[in-house]
Amino acid sequence: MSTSEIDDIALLNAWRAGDMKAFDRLYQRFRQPLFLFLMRRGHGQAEAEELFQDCWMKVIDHSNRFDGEHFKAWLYTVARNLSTDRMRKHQPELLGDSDSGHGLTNEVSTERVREGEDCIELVRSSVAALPIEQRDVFLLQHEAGLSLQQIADLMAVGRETIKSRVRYAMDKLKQLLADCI
Amino acid sequence: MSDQQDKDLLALYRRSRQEEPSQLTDMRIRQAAQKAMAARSRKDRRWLWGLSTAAVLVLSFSVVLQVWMVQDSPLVIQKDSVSTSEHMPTPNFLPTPEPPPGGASEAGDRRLENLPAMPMSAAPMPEKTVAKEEPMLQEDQAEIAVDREAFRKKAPAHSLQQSAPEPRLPDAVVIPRLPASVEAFQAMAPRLVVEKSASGLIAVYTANKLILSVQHQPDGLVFKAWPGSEVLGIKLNWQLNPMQLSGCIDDSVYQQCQLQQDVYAHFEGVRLDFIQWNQQ
Repeated sequence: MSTSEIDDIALLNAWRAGDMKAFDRLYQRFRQPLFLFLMRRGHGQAEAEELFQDCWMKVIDHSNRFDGEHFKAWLYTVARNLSTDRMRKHQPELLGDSDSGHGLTNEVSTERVREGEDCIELVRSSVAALPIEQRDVFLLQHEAGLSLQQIADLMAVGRETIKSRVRYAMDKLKQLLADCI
Repeated sequence: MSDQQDKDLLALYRRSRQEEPSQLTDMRIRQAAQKAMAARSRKDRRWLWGLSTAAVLVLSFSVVLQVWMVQDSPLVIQKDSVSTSEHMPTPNFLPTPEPPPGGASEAGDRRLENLPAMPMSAAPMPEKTVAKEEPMLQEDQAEIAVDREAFRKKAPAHSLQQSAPEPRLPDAVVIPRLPASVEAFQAMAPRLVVEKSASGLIAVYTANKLILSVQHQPDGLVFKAWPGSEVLGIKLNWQLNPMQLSGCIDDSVYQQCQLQQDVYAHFEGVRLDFIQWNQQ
């Protein structure tokens, strides 16, 4: 367990014991990364906020049942599951096929590329254009900061599969963002 | 090149991380966390109230019980110091006294006393493992027969009131005369593991379990026996543990309570019942 994971558990336990400041610290730690995970996964601002709130409500309601060592992995598992459930109901087309690397992609315009803002917007749309499984792996690694093994456990696949997905995702993003990097 | 491209890509990604949840969302989540925390502490307090009430009741009952028990005198098990090859006289289960006027206390009493458990450091766990316990009887074992009539004759000053129901006497207890040397114990049953510490304490183990200790004291040998000491000829109904009973209140089990009142022995952190006696 890393130091930050120990801290997460310590903060969670402190909050369970009645320390609201501990919850504030824990919340701040994951506030933006978790929100961005949900947005980058393909949800709009409003929907991402809704899912973000639902995720934390689940954490608050079920914190007494959490007795594991990896709070972060648990948090992102909850978030991913909520997101997937929502997508299945309302945007099933976003849950495309993945490992072949030939998943559904949103059209990305690379015609107008300017420094700064457009590249930023291009990054967002390029990530959104990844097949869902590659997108998840990329976000869980670079937004959530989970290890490859943790991602493998979360997605219930082998580590080598995760490594492949990481490679596909990076290659795809570099291709789409070639003019920005 | 590829590594550098990866780095550039990730740097660009990090620059794109600008979105955040709204303050309203933050506030709602925080409120929910506060509510959950408050609900949890209310539940804990309710639980604590019940626990503290129960604790007070248990404590009160224990105090009453202790006061009641102190009113009765402790028992003495007597065993003659003569050779055990002779028939053993009936032991006197006498309460400790008020000494009879002009009378003298009997010599060679054995007492069952509450003494602190033997410190484990004095009897370190041996590394050897005894695979099998061997039954063993010595020729000089004696059976202490408990006889109701003899009990009455020898305990005229029994503190139990005449109107109280007759006490049920304990099952047959056998406490043989035991040696006090490592060699002698080893000879009794070769599979026993016998150790003597620097302080002179002899510890006897069987199957990695401490069953007997012997300590030389100025007034004689002090023996302690634990369950498992049957292999040494000690017979005692370990099941009649007063601490496992609901309480030694009932006169019908009075004698048994007094006989087996020591329950705070321990071995390697595991609590065991033991008895202790002196041997001249």
